[in-house]
Amino acid sequence: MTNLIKLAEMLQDSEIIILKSLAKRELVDAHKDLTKSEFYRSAMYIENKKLADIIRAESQVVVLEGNGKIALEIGLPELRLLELLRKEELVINEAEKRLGSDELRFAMGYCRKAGWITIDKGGLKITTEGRKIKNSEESKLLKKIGNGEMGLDKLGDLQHAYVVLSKRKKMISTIPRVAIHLKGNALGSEVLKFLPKGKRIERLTPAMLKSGTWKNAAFRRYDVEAPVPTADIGKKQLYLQFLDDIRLKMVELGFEEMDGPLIETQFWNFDALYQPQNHPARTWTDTYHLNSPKLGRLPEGKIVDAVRAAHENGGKTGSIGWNYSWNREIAKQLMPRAHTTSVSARVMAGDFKVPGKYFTIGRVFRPDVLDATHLIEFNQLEFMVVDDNLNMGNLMGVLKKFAEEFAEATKVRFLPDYYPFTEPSVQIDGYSLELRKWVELGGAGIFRPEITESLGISAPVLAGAFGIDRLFQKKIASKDIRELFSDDLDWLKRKEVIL
Amino acid sequence: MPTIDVHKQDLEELVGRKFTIEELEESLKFVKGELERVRGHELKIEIKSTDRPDLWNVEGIARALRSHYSKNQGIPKYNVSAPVMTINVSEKVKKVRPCIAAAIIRDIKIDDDILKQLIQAQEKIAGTFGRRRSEVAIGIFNLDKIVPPLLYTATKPDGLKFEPLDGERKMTPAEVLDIHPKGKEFAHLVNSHDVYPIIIDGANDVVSMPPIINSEKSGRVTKRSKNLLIEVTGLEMRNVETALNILAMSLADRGGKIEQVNIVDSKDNIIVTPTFAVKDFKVDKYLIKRTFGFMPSDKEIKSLLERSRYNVVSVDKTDEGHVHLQFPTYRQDIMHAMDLVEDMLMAYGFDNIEPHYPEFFTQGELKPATVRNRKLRELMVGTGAQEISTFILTNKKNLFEKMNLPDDEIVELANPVSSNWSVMRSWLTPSLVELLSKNTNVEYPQKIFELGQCVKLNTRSQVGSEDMWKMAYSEAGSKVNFTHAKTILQAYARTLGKELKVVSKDHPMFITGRSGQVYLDGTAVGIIGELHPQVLNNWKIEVPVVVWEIEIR
Repeated sequence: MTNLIKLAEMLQDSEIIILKSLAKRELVDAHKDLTKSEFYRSAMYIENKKLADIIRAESQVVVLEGNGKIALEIGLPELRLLELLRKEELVINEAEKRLGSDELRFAMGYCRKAGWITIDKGGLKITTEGRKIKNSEESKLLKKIGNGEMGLDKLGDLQHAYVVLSKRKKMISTIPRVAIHLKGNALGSEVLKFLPKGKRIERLTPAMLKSGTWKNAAFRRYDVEAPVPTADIGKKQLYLQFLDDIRLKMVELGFEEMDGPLIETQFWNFDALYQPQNHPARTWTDTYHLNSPKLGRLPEGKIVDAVRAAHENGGKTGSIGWNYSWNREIAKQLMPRAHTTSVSARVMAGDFKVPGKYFTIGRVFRPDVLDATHLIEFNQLEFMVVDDNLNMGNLMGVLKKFAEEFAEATKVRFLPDYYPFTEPSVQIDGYSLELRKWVELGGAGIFRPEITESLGISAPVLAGAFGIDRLFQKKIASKDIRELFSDDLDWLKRKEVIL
Repeated sequence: MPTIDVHKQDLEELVGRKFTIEELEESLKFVKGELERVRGHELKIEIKSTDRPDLWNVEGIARALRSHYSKNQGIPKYNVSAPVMTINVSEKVKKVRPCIAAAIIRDIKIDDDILKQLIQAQEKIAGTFGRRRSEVAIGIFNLDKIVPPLLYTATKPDGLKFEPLDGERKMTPAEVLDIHPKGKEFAHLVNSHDVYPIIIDGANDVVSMPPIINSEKSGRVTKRSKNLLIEVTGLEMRNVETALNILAMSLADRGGKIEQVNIVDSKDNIIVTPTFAVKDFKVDKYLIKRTFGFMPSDKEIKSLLERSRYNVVSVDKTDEGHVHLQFPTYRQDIMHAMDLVEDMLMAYGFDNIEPHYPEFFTQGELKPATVRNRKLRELMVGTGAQEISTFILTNKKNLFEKMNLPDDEIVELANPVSSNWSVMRSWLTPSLVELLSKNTNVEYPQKIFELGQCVKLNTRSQVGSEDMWKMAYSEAGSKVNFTHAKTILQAYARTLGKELKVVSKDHPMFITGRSGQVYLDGTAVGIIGELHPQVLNNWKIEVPVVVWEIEIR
């Protein structure tokens, strides 16, 4: 009882119109008092409320495509050609000017095959047969379809024209159309008995509020449980949002952000980091080089000399060096930075505070092929911690802290590792309960003295990188690293935010 | 990183101890190794020390582990007998591939494991340490098929014919480079010279054509070979000797007896190889204390170093003193005392060190640009647009041609992997339009924005270029028009308290009469307009698109 009253209170006028009609007969696809969209929408609402049964019957309809619409307006090209030739003979060039080249090529072929024209040495001439042609089956079909649509069952004797036009480019297309058969049911007729008396308010208007007429009327009840359309809202890109979060966490941990240029001299990318100039990592296959600009400038002052000495014989760093002749010109070569360690090098050479904690997140570039596990550019989280007496335990402590903060790792292990810029070097793994195995989280070490001493730093500098790309992939359960730079708008809109 | 195939039993016999897989994983930490795969007794071990070729075979791994499980510690000792064989080095080869070193291994029992390890070591050392044979190439021969003395010289491309290994017929050196698979693979190492390196024996037979291929006659080593000759050629003597030492030690570890070889140049200078020379080194005790976080006892310092295969000469009593030690010359990775401290730490075990987050206080801080960027992006999100993030690398076709623009000078890679990613973008709009072009099946209207980095040339900059942050907005849809773009731009400007002025200006990528220059507080910062139909065609977009892009300063 109460349900039927509620249901009746929810009915819109259009639904009531339909229900009243359904009490007498079935409805197919339309109602005379409603527009097409009103009818469909109301039918759906009625169906949702289970007040009628809908049978959806699929049928095929024919509609005009681009060329079909043009032909409907100005005539089919073959008929237009005949029209022209009826008045005079034409050379192909002239016919092309009047008809357009695509149309003419088609119309010529069509008419000659039908025996309506002859083509002789570039001249077009209408035949007697052609003169008889005023109209064609195809043109009749176009008119019959018009700007609306036509059921495939209504072709009648235009079957052949339909086949021919279907084969012609962008003339007509056949698409499925669903017709709605609406059938009344017991609930539908029952609910009509409970229709509320008097006027019901659909929308509350300013006028009603002013006049107070709302006091004597009832509001139509809404089906608040009904589904609504999806809305797109503005959203940050998921990965950038994640990087924002990481940056804030680094600041909370007392780290100061650093930045540096995307294009670097090899000096800052390699030489200042004690990477020898003949190292395979610096070759054409492992590192990008630039066509333009080619060369940058080396920093002023003692740094270049100190770096050169470190490479050649260790200089004052306590090292024996790489033992080769260091070349300034190679160091000047420019490249998109291969790591953000170049930023650390610049900061160490500049206004470097001891003690201090530093970090940067920035784009880096590696010659790779883009696929599900490789990016051609990606972001690195790079950090440095410096104080006079930092030791191996501190290095492991920093990594452990990051593992807890960023990867929520509860169980970690440390493995000796090799990185060209640090000695000692250590890798940290976190145990993944989901994967039931150790997963590499990051790596770090103490910058080689050849690096720090050359830049005038005697304190140990803990330095490392954390694999934030993989961390992010884990957070969103992504198996394809390209999703970090997703170009799928649907995915970007629908993917849930990381809280 | 070198990955070494190892037979577990073979490793155990060489170390002199059995391992469970867990024990093995634990002990591999001493050599920066990780078990990559276990299939029965077949192990794949990844050695992360790319600077330690002496660890790139099972003998090397075993040598390093032995010192942790037995009294066999300090620098490994190898007996060598005096040279009998001589290799004469001709002046002709000096310009092509100047260095050669060799060793003879006698009475070695070759089985499948040894043969496999020998080939593997040869490949890893010549391939990785030897930079694909350019710096170091290795040849191993059946000594009993060689008539001494040897001559290392250079020959004309159409010189001495010989049958190369797996070559099936005699060829000239030029033919070897043309026809033989190894010849084709490594031809570039020699064919820029007018003569090629060659080793000839006392019977005038070709032994080898380094760094390409051995001869079939003496270069085929089988289980029946008892005495071997190892020859290493290259560009620098220290690399050549390092490679030779590693192979000689490995075969000696398997019971072979090392015999030296005389290398005699045209001026009758003689050097003898291999030698197992050592270098003296001093480590500041303070560095040990600082890095460990405490000072290990002198006894412990000595033990840690000997287990890491160094000889300890003496340890100064005071904390300010030094540790005097020796390391073998093939350890080319040792350049600084810190290298030894790391080895000591590994011997001590990272697991025995307590992680301790440094407690000192520092004030964390973001760069002003980071704070600004975040706020600007939040502002744009408020307009209902979806943020996107795209690559900085792109190509000139996208940046210019498809946008109806003439080419411009920008930052360009010399060696792109793919022509799709060959320049650094100078502006953002093409990135946005490209994304729209990939989403023509997604519901319209589409509203997107990106705050991203672009790069332009700047000769005054130290790095020849200048990074810029740009903000771009785009809206696409059948009912989208210029007003939509300007409305959002106006909201953006107003929220930042800036005065917006759009001054009409035609631009080839926009419909004539529907574009303008954007001024914020009187400064020209960007452009706004409705994309030209030709541009939409170029990108196969079938609805109108409006954009604006401004530089953030």
